[in-house]
Amino acid sequence: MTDLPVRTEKKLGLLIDLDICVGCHACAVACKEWNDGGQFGPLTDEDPYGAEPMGVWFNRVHSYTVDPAVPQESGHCGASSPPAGPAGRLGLSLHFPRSCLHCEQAACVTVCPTGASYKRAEDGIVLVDYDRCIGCKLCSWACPYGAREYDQAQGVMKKCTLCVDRIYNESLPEADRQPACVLACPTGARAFGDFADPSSVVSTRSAGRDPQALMPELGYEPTNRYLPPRPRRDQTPEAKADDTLNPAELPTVLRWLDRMLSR
Amino acid sequence: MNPALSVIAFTTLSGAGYGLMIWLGLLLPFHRQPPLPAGFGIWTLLLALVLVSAGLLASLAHLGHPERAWRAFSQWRTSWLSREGVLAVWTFVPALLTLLVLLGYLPPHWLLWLGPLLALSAALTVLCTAMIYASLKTVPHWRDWRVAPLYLLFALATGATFQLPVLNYFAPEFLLKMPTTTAQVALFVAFVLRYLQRRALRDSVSAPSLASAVGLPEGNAVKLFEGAHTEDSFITREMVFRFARKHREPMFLAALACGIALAGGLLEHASNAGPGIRPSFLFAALFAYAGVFFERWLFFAEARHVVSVYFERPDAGRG
Ligand code: SF4
Ligand code: SF4
Ligand code: SF4
Repeated sequence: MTDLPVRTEKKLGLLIDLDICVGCHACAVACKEWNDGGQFGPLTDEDPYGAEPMGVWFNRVHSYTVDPAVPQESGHCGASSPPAGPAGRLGLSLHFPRSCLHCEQAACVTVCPTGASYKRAEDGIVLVDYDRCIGCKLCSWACPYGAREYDQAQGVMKKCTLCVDRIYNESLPEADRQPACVLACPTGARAFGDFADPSSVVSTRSAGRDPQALMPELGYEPTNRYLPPRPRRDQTPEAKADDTLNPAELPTVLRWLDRMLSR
Repeated sequence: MNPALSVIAFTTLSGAGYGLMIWLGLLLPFHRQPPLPAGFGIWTLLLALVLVSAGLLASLAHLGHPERAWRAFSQWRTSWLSREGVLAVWTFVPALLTLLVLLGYLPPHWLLWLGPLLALSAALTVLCTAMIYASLKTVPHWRDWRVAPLYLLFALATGATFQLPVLNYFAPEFLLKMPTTTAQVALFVAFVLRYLQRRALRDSVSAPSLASAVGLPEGNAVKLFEGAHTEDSFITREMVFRFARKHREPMFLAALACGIALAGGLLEHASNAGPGIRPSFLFAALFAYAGVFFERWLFFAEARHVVSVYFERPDAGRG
């Protein structure tokens, strides 16, 4: 069972637009809420009201600052507009949600000695069978993205399920058969769909945006993709100078007002 | 990586036990002059079995569900942990058969094939243990060609040292020059190779950058601004272990002092004293084990998991 499927029919996953994410943690909280009570719960909290509370979450949001590189050709974040040089360079903040990427070459699956970790051939979702897991934690060592969290109370490994108990849940209205994090996102930074299907929302939304795999050099071939922030508008001092008012272009009344106020 | 006591105990104790089995498997059938005392074979094998079993039991302490450990034998096609489990259980077969030969229940000439089989099974088990770590792309310090030979060398070195007090006890009239030198050389080679490996790794280990980890092109200077959580999580406790990077050099010096200087010196002292029971052999074995224990602690504690890049404080030095 820990062999990876040769190919999966679908590649279900998440597309996360880093240009839109505002780091509000709504996805993380919604994930915790749904999965705590869902088929794959509980997401146990240890010492929840004590000095060192700790608990299992499937999704976490980090915030970074980016000092963009010296201009390059490609259209990635900050790579084109902000000119180089410490004065003119414009930093940006980057909010970065991190959860399981449902990798195609998922080493978390192949290292598992019991077959508890598996990747579904029909849709590519990576899951843990809690009844088989012996809690050896090797899969968490094998995951480069920190997607697996050990549940101390239950003695088993847990991870994002892509809300498999929502997306196929026929008792939910069709529009709600989506991961909890996607539904909760107030800005629409997250989308869920089949990366193998060119007409799916994740494929169409990434058109022309160069969706990124994380740490591609490790060869895990994650299914989830991230859209890098779009280049920022030029806000250097010279660019700002363009904004200054040219009274000659104003209508007569305003030109008069400008002259009065400028005295 | 968080150096869990259970895992350090597992790899070092079982390593010493398998090391003993390797030496014994090679010595028993082929050692004729002077003849080895019968008690030596039996008690060394018993010691090896105790060490190996203690190691395997310690590894169970690492599990969330030890009662399901039997499930771990099923995935030998892909999992080194599973392969290690299968071979560890298999090795009890030649070990127990050898014990039966030594106790006189089976014909002595069986040792001619049992011995090599025991040595080979034990060596393969140690290599599988090493591959559990050496196969992880996520820990660049471990994915190194020297890790598997080092595990084997440390097993051989502790094994060679552990058999000396037993041999000395059963044959106090022997002058143990040859086996002592073997143990000294094994210890020396193992620790020196480890020293060289650490030096090589310090300059050469490369891991993905934070830019690559968040999907930005190289060259973007990405810095942590606000962590995902204010308290620790399983990931930060297990993978983002910082203590060792502060104290690594004194720790490695302690390993060298115990493993080479003290163990080697005591061996020298013991083998130069005349015939008789010499406790220095026992102390040498204990110091050799302590040296390997410290070394193994560092093997875990010093290794950086690539996930730690997501958690790095901008002011925290890398390395
Ligand atoms: S992100 Fe981690 S847990 Fe998820 S499939 Fe990849 S390796 Fe496995
Ligand atoms: S912790 Fe559980 S799921 Fe992970 S490798 Fe071990 S047995 Fe498999
Ligand atoms: S898909 Fe579901 S389980 Fe995964 S991060 Fe989103 S809400 Fe959590």
